[in-house]
Amino acid sequence: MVELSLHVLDLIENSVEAGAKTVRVSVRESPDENAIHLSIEDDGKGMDPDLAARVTDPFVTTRTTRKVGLGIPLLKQVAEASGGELRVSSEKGKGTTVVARFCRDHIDRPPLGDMAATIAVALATNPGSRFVYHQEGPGGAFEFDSAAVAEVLGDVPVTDPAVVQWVKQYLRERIEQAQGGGSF
Amino acid sequence: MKSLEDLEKILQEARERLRVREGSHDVRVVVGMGTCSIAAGARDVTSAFLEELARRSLRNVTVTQTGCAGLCECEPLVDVYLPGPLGMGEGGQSDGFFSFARPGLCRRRLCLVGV
Repeated sequence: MVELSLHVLDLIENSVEAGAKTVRVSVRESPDENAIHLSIEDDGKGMDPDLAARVTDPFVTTRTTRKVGLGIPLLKQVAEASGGELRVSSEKGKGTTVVARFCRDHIDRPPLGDMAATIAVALATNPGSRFVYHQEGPGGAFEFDSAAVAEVLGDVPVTDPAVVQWVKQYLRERIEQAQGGGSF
Repeated sequence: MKSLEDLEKILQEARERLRVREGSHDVRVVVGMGTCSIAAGARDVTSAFLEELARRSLRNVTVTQTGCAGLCECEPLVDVYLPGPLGMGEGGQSDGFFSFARPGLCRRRLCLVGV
């Protein structure tokens, strides 16, 4: 995929499929360490240790319609191709966390891309889940929590298109701020 | 800078829309959101739908996602569920939809399936 944020959306869909009530996405840009850290954490149904150890294999999937599952393997490939790594930790009944690290200045590292669109689309199309997005970088840190938005909205759903547009703009501004003027 | 207070205005308008929505038929837009779909551009297609719905304040339309349908090479795929036979009835809602999904923009490959 051409953007890291597209991989993130893909993994968010995994979390939702696993029945997650809350999905936490975190992006940490650390120019000092020349690294970008990404994590997607959910409270879905989780996996047993055996399955968790095998999910980075493209020929492992829980669905029965096809024999391939490419979401995690593709992100692992991208992380390793850009001098980083990917790890999956999971506990049955508790949830799953995927963390990936990338070399910030590696030529094969895809750009972060439109993370605001990723979160906004995830929020709009999955009304049953709460999304928490955290980003930090040279310009500071911020956290977005869809539960806080839902609280302000009351009886109006967060999936309302006008609300989604607001969320996207809000995230764009905060992300730009966290990146400290540059983008990566 | 956007703040949570800005939501207040959006809130008023959204409540207005909810009121109008009661008792009317819904249009469902279901976008494929598997790995293949996302790689093929499903996120931006979904964004485009949501932007257009917000811009036109279209009522009665919900946008949701579904998994890969097995036609990976055809992605991004969008299923639109319209009320009535082929969605051509029910007070012109479908007319509104088809003027939005205009040829060349969204209707590159349009397949109509009767229900």
